Amino acid sequence: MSDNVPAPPDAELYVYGVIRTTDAQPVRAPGVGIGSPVRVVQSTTLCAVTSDVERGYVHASREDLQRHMRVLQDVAAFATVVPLKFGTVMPDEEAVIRELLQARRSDLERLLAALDGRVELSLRATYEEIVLSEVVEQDAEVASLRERVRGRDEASTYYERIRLGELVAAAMVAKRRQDTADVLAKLQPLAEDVRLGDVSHERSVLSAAFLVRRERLEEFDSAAAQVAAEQEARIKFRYAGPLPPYSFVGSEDEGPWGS
Amino acid sequence: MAMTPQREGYLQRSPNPSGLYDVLDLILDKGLVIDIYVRVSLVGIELLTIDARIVVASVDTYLRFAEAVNRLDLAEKGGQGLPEVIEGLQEGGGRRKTKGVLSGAKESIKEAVSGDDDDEKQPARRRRSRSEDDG
Repeated sequence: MSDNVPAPPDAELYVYGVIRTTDAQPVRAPGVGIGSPVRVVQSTTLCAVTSDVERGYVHASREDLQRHMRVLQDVAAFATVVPLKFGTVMPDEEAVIRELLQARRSDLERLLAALDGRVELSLRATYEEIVLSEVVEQDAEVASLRERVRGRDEASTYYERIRLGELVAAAMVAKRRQDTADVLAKLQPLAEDVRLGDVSHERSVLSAAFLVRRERLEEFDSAAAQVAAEQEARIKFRYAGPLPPYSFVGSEDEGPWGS
Repeated sequence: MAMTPQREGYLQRSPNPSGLYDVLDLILDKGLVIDIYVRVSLVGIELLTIDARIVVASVDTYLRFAEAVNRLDLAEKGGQGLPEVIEGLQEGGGRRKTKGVLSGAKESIKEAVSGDDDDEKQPARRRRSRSEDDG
């Protein structure tokens, strides 16, 4: 890709991802760190998408996260890409060729084949506070404890309030499981694969990544919109994509509910 | 790519995740790992990531939930979908009159960001990030 900006003397290579050589095209978005132009490092049929960075650590600043994302998004517009983890820096082209493109060739070929024609869609959901009313209505113990502590001073009801909150938290966990199952029942059949991320925030319902064939994108959009419409009063959804397949290239060490 | 207008109108697909938490969540722990070459300094951002993931099982959380249900005005609730209930509960709904679970959580984030010795609030994820930082 363009090489009119000289590399810093102490440069190393930031690596965004791997594509097929036949798919390579210029990327205009500036690179992570010092904003060097994006260029590819080739080893026969595979290319690493890289840019020069200064030696040392990459700071996970908002700007660098955005740049990492932007470069991969540009690449994904014309190529099937295997995204690398944010912050991958290799010492030089030789290392990229030997330790990434050659050493991982069979993994990379397999992943590229599995990802062809597919995009990642991200769906996140959080509960509206009205869900707490459901808990009070559906759980007699919560309702009576709530009546007992309401309006009384905090010190004398401390343990009762902890018990109340504990029951509510448990009820929310049950709701989360049920709502996640309901959402997945409608959307998973339209996807090739799904990954559920951690949801340890108390209002989270789910954080899901779906791997979807490009030609099913509209179908998935309608199904997701339908789910959001049905849940409008209780759950707020955030929906993004098409994204590079960040969630479908790593190991599966994260279970549906975190560890 | 142009969005096809949704007949239902409730959900728009945006090209990118919006908000720092969603970006972090999408990118930070994802992607193919080439073991010894991941070099990220999480200084400054570490606590933000962690506290987007507030632990559920804690006395603090229980007390926040208790307070939230105590402040519910069930008499006022004439059924689901009340516009005024939904309004102001949108993201960043801290302007809401009652102090809900969300605003409580936000306070925890602020506390944790300003303090740096809050070890019991950190899930395993942080330890993993740290070892990368050391490597």
